[in-house]
Amino acid sequence: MFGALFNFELRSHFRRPVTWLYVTIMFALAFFATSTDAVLVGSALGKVKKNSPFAIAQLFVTLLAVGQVITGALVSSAVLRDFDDGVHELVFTTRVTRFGYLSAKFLAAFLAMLLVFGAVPLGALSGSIVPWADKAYLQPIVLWHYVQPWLVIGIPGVFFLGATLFAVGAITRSAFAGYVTGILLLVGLSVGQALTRTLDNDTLANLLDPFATRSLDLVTRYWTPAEKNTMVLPWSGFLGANRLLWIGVGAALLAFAFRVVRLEKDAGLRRRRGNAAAGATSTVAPRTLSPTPVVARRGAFRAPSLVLGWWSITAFHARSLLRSVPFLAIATIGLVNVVMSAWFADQNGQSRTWPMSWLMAESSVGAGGLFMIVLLTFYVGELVWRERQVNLDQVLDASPIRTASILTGKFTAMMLLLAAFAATGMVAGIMVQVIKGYPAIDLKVYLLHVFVVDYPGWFVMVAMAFLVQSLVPRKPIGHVVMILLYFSTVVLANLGWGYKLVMIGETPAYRWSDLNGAGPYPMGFLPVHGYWLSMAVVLLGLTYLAWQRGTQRVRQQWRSRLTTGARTVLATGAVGAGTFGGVFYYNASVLNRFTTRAQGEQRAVQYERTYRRYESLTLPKVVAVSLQVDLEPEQLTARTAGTITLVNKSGRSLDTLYVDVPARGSTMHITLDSLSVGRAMRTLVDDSLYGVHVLLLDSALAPGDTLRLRFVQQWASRGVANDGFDTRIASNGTFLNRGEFPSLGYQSGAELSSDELRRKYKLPEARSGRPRTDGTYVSRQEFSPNSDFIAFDATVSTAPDQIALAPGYKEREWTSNGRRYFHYVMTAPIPDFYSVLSARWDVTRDVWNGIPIEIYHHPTHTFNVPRMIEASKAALALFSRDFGAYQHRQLRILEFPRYAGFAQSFPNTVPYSEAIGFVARVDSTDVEDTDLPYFVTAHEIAHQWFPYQRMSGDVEGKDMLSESFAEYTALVVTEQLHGRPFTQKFLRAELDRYLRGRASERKAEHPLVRTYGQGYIHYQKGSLALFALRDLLGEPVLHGAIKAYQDERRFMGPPYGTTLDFMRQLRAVTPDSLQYALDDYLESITLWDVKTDSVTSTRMPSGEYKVVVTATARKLRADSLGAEAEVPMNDLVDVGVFGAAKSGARIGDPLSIRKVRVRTGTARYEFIVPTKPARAGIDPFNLLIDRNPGDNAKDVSGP
Amino acid sequence: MTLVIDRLSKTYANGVQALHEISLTIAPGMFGLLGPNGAGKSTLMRTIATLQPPDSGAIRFRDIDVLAQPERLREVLGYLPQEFGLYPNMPGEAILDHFATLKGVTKRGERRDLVAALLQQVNLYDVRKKNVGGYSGGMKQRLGIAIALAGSPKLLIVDEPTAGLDPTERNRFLNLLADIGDDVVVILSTHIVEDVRELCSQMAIINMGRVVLQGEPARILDEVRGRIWRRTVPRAEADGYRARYEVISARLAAGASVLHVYSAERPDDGFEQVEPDLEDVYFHRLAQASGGRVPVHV
Repeated sequence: MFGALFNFELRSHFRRPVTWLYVTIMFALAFFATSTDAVLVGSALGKVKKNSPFAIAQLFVTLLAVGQVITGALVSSAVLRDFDDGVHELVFTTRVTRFGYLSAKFLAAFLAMLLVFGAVPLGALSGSIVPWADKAYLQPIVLWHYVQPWLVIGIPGVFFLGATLFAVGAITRSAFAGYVTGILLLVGLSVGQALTRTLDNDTLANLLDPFATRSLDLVTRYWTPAEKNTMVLPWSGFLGANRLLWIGVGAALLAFAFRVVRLEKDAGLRRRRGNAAAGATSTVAPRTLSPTPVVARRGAFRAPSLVLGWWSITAFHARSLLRSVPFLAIATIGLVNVVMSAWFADQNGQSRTWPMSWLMAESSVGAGGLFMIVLLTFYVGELVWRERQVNLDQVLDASPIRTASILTGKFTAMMLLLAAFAATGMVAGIMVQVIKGYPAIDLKVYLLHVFVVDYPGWFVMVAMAFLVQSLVPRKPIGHVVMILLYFSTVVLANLGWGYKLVMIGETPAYRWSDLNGAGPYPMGFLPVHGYWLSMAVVLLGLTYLAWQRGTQRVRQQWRSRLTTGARTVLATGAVGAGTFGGVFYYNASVLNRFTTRAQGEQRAVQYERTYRRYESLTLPKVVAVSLQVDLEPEQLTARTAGTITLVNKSGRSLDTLYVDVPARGSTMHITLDSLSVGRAMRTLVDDSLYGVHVLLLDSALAPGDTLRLRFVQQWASRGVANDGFDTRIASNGTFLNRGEFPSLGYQSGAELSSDELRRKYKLPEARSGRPRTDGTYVSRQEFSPNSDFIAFDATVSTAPDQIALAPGYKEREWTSNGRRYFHYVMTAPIPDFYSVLSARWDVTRDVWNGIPIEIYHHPTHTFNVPRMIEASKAALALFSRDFGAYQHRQLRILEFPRYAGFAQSFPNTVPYSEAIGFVARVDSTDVEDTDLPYFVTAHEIAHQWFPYQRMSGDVEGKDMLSESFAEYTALVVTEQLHGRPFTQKFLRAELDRYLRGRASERKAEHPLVRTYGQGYIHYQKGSLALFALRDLLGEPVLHGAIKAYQDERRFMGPPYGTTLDFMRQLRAVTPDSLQYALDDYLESITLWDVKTDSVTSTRMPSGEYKVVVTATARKLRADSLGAEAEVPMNDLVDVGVFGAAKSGARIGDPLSIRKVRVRTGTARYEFIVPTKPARAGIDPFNLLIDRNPGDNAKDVSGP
Repeated sequence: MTLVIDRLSKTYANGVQALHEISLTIAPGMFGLLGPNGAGKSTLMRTIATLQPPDSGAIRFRDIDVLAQPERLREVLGYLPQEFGLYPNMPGEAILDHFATLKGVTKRGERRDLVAALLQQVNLYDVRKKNVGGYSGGMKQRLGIAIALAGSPKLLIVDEPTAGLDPTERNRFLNLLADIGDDVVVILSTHIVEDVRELCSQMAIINMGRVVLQGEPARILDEVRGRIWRRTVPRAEADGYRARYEVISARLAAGASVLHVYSAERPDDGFEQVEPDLEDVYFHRLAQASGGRVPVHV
């Protein structure tokens, strides 16, 4: 019996076209993910090959998590089919046992699921074989690399999914419950990840994740590219535990289902309740019939008007959907997701922010979007097929209601429910904001984002779903078509073809800033929304033509439906789409330019091919810059002019000038009014596309001679671009960075940098850093190869209610022609690095040692102003004590809109994004919070010393001399405030980011002294390494070496500093016994692996405690691709015992700590401490670079 | 005031000819449409109810050309299809109210009274707030007729309304139909001869897409009166009689076959004459239409 039933089930799976549709979808996803860039799954990048075991495992994990939502119906429909077909009574009255029946069904469904997901490894394999696949992303095929992840991740995952969906389907007997379960699993995944983000909760986080995404991350997070390409996933550890647990959960659910499921039809809980209700009333005695029949009481009624009918359908179906349990279930899950996302929106790694209205609005829209898609996909299907499903279509269709009323009514019902969902999500965001203690609710910000920017975009999606469902022969086919449609928009976006008129349901570009409000963005609302709303009208018109009325689909029906009314609607929609689309096209493609990703790449290629030959051109050097900038923030225009003083320092006469001026970007139209040198010349190249101007002087510039280059440019933001606006000039919050002013020479930064792209366009190999001994490059400072230290002044005019700022000191301020003018003059020599800002600011002032400190901030952004002032004072105090005097007489911090999210140090001027420091919410009781406003302020101030007092040459290691120094010294400043336990958690986070950074290195990891454009090295490893060296050498020694390096050539021109110079100073003051540490931390890639094996504590008669620690250690060296070799270890390492930790820290105050020489192997350490110990171990401050930092210390057990 | 069906033909895509030049004229009052499963009854009804177009032919109701102006017919139409369901998660009252609106009862107060009256009449008033998902088959059928009756239809089409109802429910349902006013054309399709006899003033029998017989039930009975003979024979002998006579029906009773035979004279001494009922007419005509083979047997 079992065999027959199983065979029958399996064959019916194979016979159903939808099974093969699922197979095709999964195959296609895997195939295209491997063979093209159209589908991006996982993060195989750079040196990690797309068919590495790691990338394949990631593909499985992702496609399993996403694919189950699509294919879950396969299992639930298998469970429900007998009921739906009405054959259950026939089946259940045969001799088949309950167990036999259920197990046959389950096994067949499980095998069918294996078939569907088995398409993934096959797709990946085929995708890596096809001839057009880019071989640079692939490595030679090893079959085991496909099979092994399938065994570890695929099969257990499919079993868990199959068992869960089967159990849910069998118990609830509802296809929708299956869908809801799938979505719940997906949401649960993200919620679980949010809840278990903290670094020490790995075990729990690993187990909570049924798809093993977290497990995969935990296992491979620090794997280098070499390891990812060759190592298969370990069966044990995180992955094994996770897989075993979820196989167990699946089996348990299955067992439960086998136990409780009855085969009788009415076993379902809901049905039983329904029957009870009906049974209670069926005994009521029949009433006497009313004396007059209701029918024929009066003349005939007329059909309801279009509007009345529309509203009746709307109200009825909206009410009916609200009474539908699955609808409410999905909406509730969606809201839970929105709440979770809003709740954690204020946490971003090491920083916390205040729950600003824009943040909550963004998170509620972002987290709700997927659920809007789910709701509309399924419920438009329900609405269209509703009457046919319950067999009421004939009654409805024979009623006089107009077809247009039915269609528009159902459409409106869907839109109303989506509006309700969006509104509820918005309210949830507001509640979170209130609960989190920031009750300054800006309702306008919420409404703008949720209902003006986002919501109108859903009309066309819903209309499209209506059209699709009215054309397809069956509802599930409509679902699949819609899913493919969403998918196609993702593909378009991935390929860089994301044109707003092509990507269905696109919303206009938008970003709120408290400084600049909605800025220019509302200009784009009408064209984009108008276009897609018009398209929605067209789609609804087509739906009307296709709408089936009656029991038969009539082929020629659309002709009779094409009435004057329908023609008018279609024409209106078409005209609207044409008009708004035309306006958008004019804006985005005529007035401005739309470039696909490929076109952008080609532009960079063209630039390099045309102008790279000028790279070796010898040019005079910039010695002074004088700017005249007239900003008109009201008009989004500006005039930038200036004089750049050049001196021929080359020793030979020069006649060619290569000037790079800003060229157009996004909506910004930049024209060059004039470019002159005050003497006769010819223009050899005048390229307005790239802003390249090559000038030939009639008479050459003799060595030592001076030339004044004068430029005038006009800036104007015009219209809307596809991706939004160029916000460099803003109504409130203009920020013209150094790049917005001319430079001398070829800009190598504009070249394509990725190895893959350069190979694709047959460009020479990517630039790597120049060796530190390359004299030419050592003579070029890092900011601008053709400048030395310069003199600087700027005259800036702006709107009368704004303050304009540039580096230097305000010499004069006046008003003329209704504009407010400022003249700034810099007295100290500065690098060729400046900016101009303007906004309506409040200014908070303080003074340190006679030096004014000024914070220019948005009036309501006062949260961290005192903290920034305190940090400024502490930083100025420490740096001027240890590294030499501050070269300026003033320090300013300026807030700029959150169109960018960085802080940047210019001479005596630090622009600081509204997004990072100004709305940060410091919580020192949080174990991940590292007081970013304080730290970042100190970091930016450190740049006034490093590198502005001694600039480094454009060679390898230059970033260590600026960023590592700034990061390290800022940490020292912050430690003064927060203490050593704070430093531990900061360094622990830095360590994690360094290890993850090196794991995703696309090229080659360098030692710190040779870092080149690798943030994870010069920021994260830099602070860690220098902090560890401070511990070993002592602060005075280390700081002395840094100061000696600075003093060597402070404020001096070429040659500039290199890490060789610094290392010379450092080596000189480092005792022989510690020279090894310089090799380990700075000159090589070294990894330690230390671990506390056991800690015991015994109370002695004296009342003191004896603590015994045993610990194991070893040390490894890695090459640039991550291949490791063990080296002998004999290093000074902290071993110590600690008291209880305060909240917000991992360790408490040390009771006893000592530096001991630790050799490779296991050793035992004894301590006598006066009070009760809480934690003990080796390297408790995480100063060693160790991939398992969590096992360095252990809690003390025992009395 | 009549419904005129003129040479209606319909062939489905799979080749089945469901209607073959059907012509009928139906006056106000109850009209019974009899026929075996697959005769084309439902196709005919759906075609009249504007739910599917015929290949050829015409339908007129009063001054309405039904095929050209389906929306005008729908204003005066009440239709209850053979098998139908209802929105299971909605209360009966809300569904009835909704359909009353769709049928043009747009004034709120008037609609409220109408819905209440209809619910009383079909005896669902007490369960009006309950979801119809919990209704029994009979309750659903009664709510269906209430929907069909809402909006004062002048043409009421009910397709196999009593199939699957128990005798009490069936009686209750037929009583409802009997109460409908005289100026309304009511078409009742059924394969239960009983229903027609009890209710209809006019009737037609259709088979294989053709009208086999049309008229008043009483007149139709006259046609066969005196020609229906009954005899009870052992089962084994039934086939022998079949070969010799026009056996129009045979049913088992206590192990023997009770045969009805159509014949102008007494076939043999064993037969007794019986008062004909519609069933006899029905089987007689079906037998004729299908070339003398008797379709129904136990």
